[in-house]
Amino acid sequence: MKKLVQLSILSALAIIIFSVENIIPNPVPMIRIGLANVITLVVLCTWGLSEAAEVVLLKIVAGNLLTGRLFSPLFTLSLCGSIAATLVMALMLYRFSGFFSLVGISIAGAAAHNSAQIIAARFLFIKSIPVLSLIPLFILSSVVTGAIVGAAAVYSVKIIKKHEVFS
Amino acid sequence: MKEACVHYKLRYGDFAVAGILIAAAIAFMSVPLKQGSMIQIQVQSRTVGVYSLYPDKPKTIAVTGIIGTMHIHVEHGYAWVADSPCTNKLCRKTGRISRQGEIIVCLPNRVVITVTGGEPRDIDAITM
Repeated sequence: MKKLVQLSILSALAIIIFSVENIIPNPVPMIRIGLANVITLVVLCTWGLSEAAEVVLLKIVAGNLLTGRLFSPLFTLSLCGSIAATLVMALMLYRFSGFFSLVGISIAGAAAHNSAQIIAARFLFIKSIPVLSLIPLFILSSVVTGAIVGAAAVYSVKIIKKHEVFS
Repeated sequence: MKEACVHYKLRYGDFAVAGILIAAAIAFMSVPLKQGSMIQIQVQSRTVGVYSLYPDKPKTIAVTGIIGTMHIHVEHGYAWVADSPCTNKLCRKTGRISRQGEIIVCLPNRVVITVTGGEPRDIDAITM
């Protein structure tokens, strides 16, 4: 019961971060910081992959419902990207945790998110999309945004573990 | 409950991840663009014509922009501006274009020439 409530609070936080980030005007379309990924990392660090999957799916469905593009092409891309990112981060956190800090895990997650999105866009929607010329831009941006998100996650997870907020 | 061993301080794996990604980005960037097959000519954002980059014999296309008529030469997969009524002739100095995505812009005349792959788009537009 306690876990259900805590996961619900984290999902609500993720949805709010996701929606607010989408409202903020962006100088570069298609590139977001992806701060909601902090919540995914927190859940991955505190519980496990299945709980993180629940939170991420809730975030994608409810967040896209709030921003008004549920079941649109962008929703599908968002879903593909988030699933890929969560799987990659879980793999790195549980199997190869000795090598990476949260920053590296977050960067890899961001890169997986962007690559999965553009590959899904290529195969599902726009056949003529110039994948090769867009991927370098997306990968470079994911290194920057992933580092920002990773730093935020380091502070969040540190405090959450220290004060045993979720246990 | 799965307890993951979480590291807060930067580790060498982080730098490896960032380094590999940046190297991959640079590698993707250095892949040459694909040879195009068509050119698309736009005047004031309206497409006025799409032509093959491989005409049977060298071809000159006359395009009327807002300050006059310019001539675009197309031959063996290359396209270039042969002459233009504009003053600074930047469109001529751009030289020959042949690869997908390459572009010649003549701003005074509002003419844009783009090389395309010729694959049809199946979606009209996407909004963000």
